[in-house]
Amino acid sequence: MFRYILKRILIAIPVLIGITILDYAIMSLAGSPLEMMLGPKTTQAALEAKAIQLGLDKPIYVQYFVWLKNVLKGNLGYSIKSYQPVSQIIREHLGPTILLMGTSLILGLMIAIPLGIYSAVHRYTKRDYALVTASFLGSSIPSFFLSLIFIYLFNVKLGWLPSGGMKTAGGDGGIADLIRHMIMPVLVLAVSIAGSNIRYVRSAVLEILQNEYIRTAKSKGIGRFLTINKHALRNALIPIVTVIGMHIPILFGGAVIIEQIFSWPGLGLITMNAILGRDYPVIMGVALLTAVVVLAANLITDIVYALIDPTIKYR
Amino acid sequence: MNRKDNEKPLIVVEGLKKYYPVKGHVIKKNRPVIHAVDGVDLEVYEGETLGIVGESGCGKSTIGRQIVALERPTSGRVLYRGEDISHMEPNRLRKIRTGLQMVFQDSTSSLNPRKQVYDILAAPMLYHGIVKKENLDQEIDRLLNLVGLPKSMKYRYPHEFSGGQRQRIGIARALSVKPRVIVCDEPVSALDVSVQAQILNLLKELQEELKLTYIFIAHGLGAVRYVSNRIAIMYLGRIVEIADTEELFDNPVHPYTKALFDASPMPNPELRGRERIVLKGEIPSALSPPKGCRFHTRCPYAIESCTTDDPMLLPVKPGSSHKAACPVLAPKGGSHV
Amino acid sequence: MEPLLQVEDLTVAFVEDKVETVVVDNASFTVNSGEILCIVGESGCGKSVTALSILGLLSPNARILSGRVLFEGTDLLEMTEKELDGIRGNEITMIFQDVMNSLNPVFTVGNQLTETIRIHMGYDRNRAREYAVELLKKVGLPDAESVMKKYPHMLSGGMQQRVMIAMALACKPKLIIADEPTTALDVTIQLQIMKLLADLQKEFQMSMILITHDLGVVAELADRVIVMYAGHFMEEASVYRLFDKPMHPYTRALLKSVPKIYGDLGEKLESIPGTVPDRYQDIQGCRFFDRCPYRVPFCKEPQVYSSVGPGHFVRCHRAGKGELDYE
Repeated sequence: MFRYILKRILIAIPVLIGITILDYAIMSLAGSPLEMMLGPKTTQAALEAKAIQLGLDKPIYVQYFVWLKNVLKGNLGYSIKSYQPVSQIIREHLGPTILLMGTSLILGLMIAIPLGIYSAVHRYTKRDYALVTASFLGSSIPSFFLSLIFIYLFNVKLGWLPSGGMKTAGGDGGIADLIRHMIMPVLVLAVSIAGSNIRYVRSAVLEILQNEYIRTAKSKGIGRFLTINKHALRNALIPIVTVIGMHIPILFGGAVIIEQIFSWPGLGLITMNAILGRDYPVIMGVALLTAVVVLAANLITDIVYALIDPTIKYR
Repeated sequence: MNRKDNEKPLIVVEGLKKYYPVKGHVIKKNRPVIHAVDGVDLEVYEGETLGIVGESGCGKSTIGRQIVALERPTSGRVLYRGEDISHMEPNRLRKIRTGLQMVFQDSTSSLNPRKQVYDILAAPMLYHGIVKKENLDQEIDRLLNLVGLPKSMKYRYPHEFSGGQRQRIGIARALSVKPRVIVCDEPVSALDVSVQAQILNLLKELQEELKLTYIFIAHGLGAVRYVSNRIAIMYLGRIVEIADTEELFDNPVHPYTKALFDASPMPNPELRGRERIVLKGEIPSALSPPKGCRFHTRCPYAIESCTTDDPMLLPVKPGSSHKAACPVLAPKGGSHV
Repeated sequence: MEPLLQVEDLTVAFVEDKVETVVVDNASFTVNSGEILCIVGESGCGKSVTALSILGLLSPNARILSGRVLFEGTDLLEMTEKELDGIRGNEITMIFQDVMNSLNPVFTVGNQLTETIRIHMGYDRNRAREYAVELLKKVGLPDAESVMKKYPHMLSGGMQQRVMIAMALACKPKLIIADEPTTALDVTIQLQIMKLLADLQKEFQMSMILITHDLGVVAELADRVIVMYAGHFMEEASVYRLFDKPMHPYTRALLKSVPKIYGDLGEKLESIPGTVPDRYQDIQGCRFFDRCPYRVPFCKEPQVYSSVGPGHFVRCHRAGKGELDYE
């Protein structure tokens, strides 16, 4: 097992480098940050001076190697816009994103898993159809639309909840305040997550229920509860772990649209701004982070598989 | 069957070994290996049926695959009409392939479910240029008739047929390229008893009509007896006994053969209480076959030397074509060096 | 003596897209204490469905249209799930055909074995464990202690089947239903398992319903045999009588189509022409009509399951009247 992990990590390094090369190339296609800095009074000389200062006068591949060299030294560079260190920017905004996404993910799965199981067990009944329909609705409603409805309802009309931000300006903060700010964005996200996963869990459980060993369990007279919640569920863990594993990168990537609408100071927000401003160092910093997270998530998922599925052997 | 004295065999298998490495090991040196076939010699003459019988892991299907050149042996070779097909270069092999065909056990998975019968039969014929486009229809009708399927069904899909009918389609497909040899890999095992009989009869008729040579692989003695002229019994990658059919049934020598006979279900309740060899234990893994005689771990006749000496396949009587690999019950046998 | 199990007029159908297909048609039979009843037939004849209906293990799209299944006098079909759970794994247990997939791959053998022991016999964990080990030894598994800790995929087909048998025996059932228990196994292992079942049956004095398509298995184990075809019982007799004097044309044809490993090799193996009819529930008369060499116009009338001797029933008017001579 240990050798397997080592092998995976070793393979991950060239993959990571490959990803960053691709990212850098695509990014440079969007145009130079210098264009974003043009104002009516900018002279050519000033532009050139800026270019040299930022190292943008060199060819793209040289720029890439410079960036890579710095990264290997632990330096992610400085934002072209704010001159802040990229690592600091990421650090400051990572927390809120994880908080928001983590809560939404947990809530979404807490809804999706039991409902998915229920739906599978009661296949083809009215309850099942209702749940599947609800699930479609949940995953199909555009999140911005739902967000706007919520804001209109709970903020404008009822005045119960704040319309944005992480805490009330000028207030003393505190958990209750934080929670009030989180309710709407978390709900919107959770609805979307639950929507797509109810059907996934349902079909995973349905497939398991077709298996012979479920019939054997039933024939032993152990009762329906144990048959489903012990025999079926334990096997369903495998596809469920897949789902969770697939969602981990989202935890870090954030939901760009939601963060915009609710002014949530997370990674999604700053990534969007960085892209619009062609802030190369920030974009690459986030891209690197995302790549690392995806690779790590895959590895962790595979390891968890090996732990919960006795038929898998990684040697 | 009558064989001319100096007739050369159509197929010769020499020292065939096929090992499959177990996947997933980084270090190649000590990689465990499945010894599917571990040293087999065979000859098959034109027009005859050689039956190969054995249980899981004996290597019979693997041999079948080497004979039709679906895989390359790890060592040893297969000669077809005197030419070594195991190491033949691909272009030449492609031309020869039509002579060697296979009928598979599981008709459900060996027929493309998305293709109509028409296309399944047409494809190989067109590829090898066996028929011209104008004659295709006629040829397909002829094939379907040959295997007893109504022409009206040629535009149906495999799942619309019964198991027995699908097997007929598989046979038609094998026949479409006008082979000389057909390897039948457990062609009736997945079928109901009454349908098995139909297919066995069909195979026999076709053999006579088209002068085919069969290698019939099975795990049960009953079907094999009906179609084969000679039978080879395999255990864990080796042939343990080989003889003409009636000779084998009258006089099985090797302990495993005897056990196989005893274990074969007989539709006669009077035979219930009879004395039988009930083998102890499980079939050993092909990853590490037992030392000495491979069968000794389950053999009721095993003696001390069986744990160390690997027996050779030798005639049970001088000059006999009936051979067995057991020094205990067929004392003329010796050991592998 | 009252029979252990009495099945009366059982009719089972599958429903798909509102279309009902009857696969078991008014089946009636009994099983007595300590006897082995074999239901033999080819694929699709309804024998497995018959067996599964007894314990209520049919798939969701199956419907029991009529009938009673009386176990020691009580109708199992009228029981609630909870009541039925008290019988399953306890008084009536089942062994399945697809050995490699019948044990849960994510739980150890020990876990799956002790589960049923603890629920039905109320043993605590340690006592259940000890008992489980004994059971594994009883079914001929060497090294029972280490098998307890293994996962099913680590065992061979034969060993997995022995584990299933151990699970079926655990609570000392009165009836074991075995659905093609040896079909997926190698021939020499089949013999081991058959002998094991025979020995255990005698020792524990259990009744068995054995479903199979293999006449050799029937000859080996059965006390009584029912031959099933297209949802109907065609013939029923004691095993010796069935093989000695088979009366129904289907039974005879079946026996003749088995390639023998002893005796004279005929020129041609007798096969049954044609195939099982589709939608056989729509056929009024004998369902074997199209394939029967003895058919006459009267065969198109509904055929009655009638007695032709002590404990010997046939669904064929010609056989019933003795019009078909033996060879």
